[in-house]
Amino acid sequence: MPRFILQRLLALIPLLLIVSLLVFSLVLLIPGDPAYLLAGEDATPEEVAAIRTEMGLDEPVLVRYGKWLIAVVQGDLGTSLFSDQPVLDVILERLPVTLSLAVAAILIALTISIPAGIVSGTRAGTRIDRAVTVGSSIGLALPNFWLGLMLVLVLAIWNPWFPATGYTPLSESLADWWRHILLPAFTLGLSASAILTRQLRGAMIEVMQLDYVRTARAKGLPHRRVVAKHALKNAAIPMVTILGLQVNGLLGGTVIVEQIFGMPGIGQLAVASVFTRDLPMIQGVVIMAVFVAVLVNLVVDISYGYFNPKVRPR
Amino acid sequence: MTAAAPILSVERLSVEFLTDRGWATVVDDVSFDVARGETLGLVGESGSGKTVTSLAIMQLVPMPPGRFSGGRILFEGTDLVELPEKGLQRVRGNEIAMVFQESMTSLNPAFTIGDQIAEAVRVHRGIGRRPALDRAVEVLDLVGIPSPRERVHAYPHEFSGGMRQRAAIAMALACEPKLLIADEPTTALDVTVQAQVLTLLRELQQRFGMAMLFITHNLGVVADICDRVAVMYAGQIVEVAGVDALFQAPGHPYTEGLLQAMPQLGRRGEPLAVVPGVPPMPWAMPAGCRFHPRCAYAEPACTAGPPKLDTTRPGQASRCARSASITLRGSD
Amino acid sequence: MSSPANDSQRARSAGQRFLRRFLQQRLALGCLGFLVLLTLAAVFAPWVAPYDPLQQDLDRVLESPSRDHWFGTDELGRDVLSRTLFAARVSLLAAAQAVLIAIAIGVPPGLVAGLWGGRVDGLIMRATDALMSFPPLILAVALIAVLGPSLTNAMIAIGILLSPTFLRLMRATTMAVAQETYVEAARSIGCTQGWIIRKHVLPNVVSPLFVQISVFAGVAMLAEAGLSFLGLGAQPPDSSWGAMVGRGFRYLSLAPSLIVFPGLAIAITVLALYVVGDGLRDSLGREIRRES
Repeated sequence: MPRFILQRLLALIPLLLIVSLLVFSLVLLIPGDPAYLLAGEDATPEEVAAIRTEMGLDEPVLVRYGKWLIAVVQGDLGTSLFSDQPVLDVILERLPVTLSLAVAAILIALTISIPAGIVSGTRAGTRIDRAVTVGSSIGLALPNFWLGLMLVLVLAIWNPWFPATGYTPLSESLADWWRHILLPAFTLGLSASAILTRQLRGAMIEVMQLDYVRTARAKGLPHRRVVAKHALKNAAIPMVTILGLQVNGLLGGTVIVEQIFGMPGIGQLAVASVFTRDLPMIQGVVIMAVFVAVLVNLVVDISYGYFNPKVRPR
Repeated sequence: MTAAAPILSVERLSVEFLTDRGWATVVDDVSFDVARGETLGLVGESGSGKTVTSLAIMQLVPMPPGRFSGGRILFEGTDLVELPEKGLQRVRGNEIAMVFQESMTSLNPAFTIGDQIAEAVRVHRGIGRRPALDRAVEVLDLVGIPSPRERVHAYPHEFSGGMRQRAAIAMALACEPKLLIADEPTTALDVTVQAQVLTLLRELQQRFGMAMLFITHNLGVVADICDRVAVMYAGQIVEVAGVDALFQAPGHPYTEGLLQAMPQLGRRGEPLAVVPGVPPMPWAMPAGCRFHPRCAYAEPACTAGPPKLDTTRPGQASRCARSASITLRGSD
Repeated sequence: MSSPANDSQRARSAGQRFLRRFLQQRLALGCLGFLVLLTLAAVFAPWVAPYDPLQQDLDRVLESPSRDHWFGTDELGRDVLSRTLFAARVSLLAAAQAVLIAIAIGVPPGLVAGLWGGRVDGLIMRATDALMSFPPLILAVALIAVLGPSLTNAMIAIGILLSPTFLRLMRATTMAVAQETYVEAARSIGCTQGWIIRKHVLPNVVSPLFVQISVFAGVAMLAEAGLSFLGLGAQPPDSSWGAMVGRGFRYLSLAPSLIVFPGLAIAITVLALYVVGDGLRDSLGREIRRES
């Protein structure tokens, strides 16, 4: 098993290299002289020169990329142009917010999609199946920021059951964390739950017709057990893949959800950095987000072995 | 109940399936008995309704698209058609067990062999994990899996085809059923492995005194293992006979055709006979005798009305209007 | 599979079957009808809208829906219905723009990867994987950060994000077609790649492409709305539905109608696009669906 993980990690290196190249190239995309742009409109020539030196804009591109990459690998993501703090520190301070939001969103998505997918998949064509299918289509089409605002309006303003904004770390109070995270996590997780429901429904319909489900019934197992054990574990295999794909979308969605609910995570940081033209911060956020996404997908890959013994390494 | 009462009695069973062209009768008025300790062969081409019949006994016909349109299935006097799902769950895997054709797809790839055997034992005997797993090891040993204590933790894909079918048989036997339904259990296997599995089934059946319903399209296998045979064609039983009588003096032209089509040793060089034509589709059954378009002995009277399954000799019945006037070749 | 001679004929009849199957799906047809009506309403907004969308009435700000103003008024007393109709122009155009950009970026390398295979294919697929490993909205935000906040830049960013799917679709179709015997035969008798693409690849890819376009127009519309909501997309005086919701955010408790209506407009339009996409997919023959 550790060897398998090591192999997967090694296989990620080329991918991460290309990603780093893309992130680095962001600077090259800036129209005109990046230093002027980054310094702001009313910067003095000295300030512009300082930025140019700091970002190494005088050197050839490849040299700059090399230096930047070496620094990034060592954990040096540069310094914020806005606050002069190390980018990594700022990000690490905010990362727990985003991660707990994403994890809560995944949990909510699974809590909704697993029962919904099972019920509609084992009763394809019935009224309840159609209701689930229509519901998942609506869940896919609702803009998450709009859903978030509606939730705030109804569940925080009209009925003050939940706080409209803010965040309490999990380490401080589980109850407060949950109260603060529930609405944003639901907002973030709904579209994922719609996709997962559709996926699981399709997989269940397929699996329920397979021979081994018939075998399980021929053994005299109760229907509930046939579905929950024999069908579900196999139907979960494609669902795990889809879940991995959804993680990227969820991390992206934090940009919007954190803005609505005033959560100090890296999504909010990314948007704020656009308006402050804090390019190193943006680059840092992107790198960190990809890093998290890649790690999560690695975990998903490994968990695959649990569901599908055929791919299990020895 | 007397000792002579059959363990399973299928009476006038009919099953229909919804097709593009409406409801089609796939199993039509089928009746047969299986006595205790007896092996009855159910023989026919694919599409003859033999598999649906076996699934109907287990009450596992997928509905929809299938539905029962008549008949009773008496197992030790209880009508399985009328039995509620809870009662059926007590019968399935416990009193009646089934071995399917494709061991590759009929075992769940996501669980170990041992787990899949043990869960049936746990459900029916209400015992814990460990003793159930011990029982799994026991039955794996019984069906000839080497070092069963280790192999009990293997997954189906780690077994060969023959081993998987042995494991499937072990799973069926785990609760010592009174009736075993084997649906083409050897068809997907190599010829040598086929023989091993057949021998195993015969041994186990004698050892436990199980009754067995053995479904196959292969008459050669029937000769090896069955006491009596029911031949199905186009959803109906066309002949029932003891296995020796059937081979020596078949009572239905279709049985004769099947016998002639059997490859036989010592007949090298002769071309294999085939039954000309194809079986009819369930929505386009020929009038009168369903076999007459393919029958070498057909005459105009055969289209007149559906022939009945009549006793021709003691212990032998045939659905052929001309059975008294024609002499059919057996295998020699 | 048939000879090259009747291949285009086969493609045409496949197209006809596709159309016939699609016309049988009432829900999808209804949604398509809605989208057509919406587009017409957007195009003819100056004539359809009851008010000038920029006309302020400071005596009547943040009103709830009424007989005069069906969708209410905004913080400057402007008619929300009229603004929603005019914003439809921006939202629809932006979605179309993003999908066109995605096609322009994704299709050519997909063709190349499928036709050439080998190392070029490997390189293109590596780059695609890398692109897909980014959380989409974060990458979009980063691109907008360097390009500057504007609707066009936002649509370029979304187009880039959507392009991998078109690339993969093109590549898969091209590969499948290139392996057909008749295409190998055509190549061996010296047919040019351009001819092969026109005659064999394009007819096969058109139907699945339509499915993808319909679904991705919905995805692009959601993404545009999200970015405009954050202030990174449509800039004043232009306004898209997402931008309207973003501005209405501040008056959430005072005038919910400011965000309810543009939000519903997005949701219904996206839903219609998805339903049409589903309908198109169901109209594909089984044989095509499996490949796409």
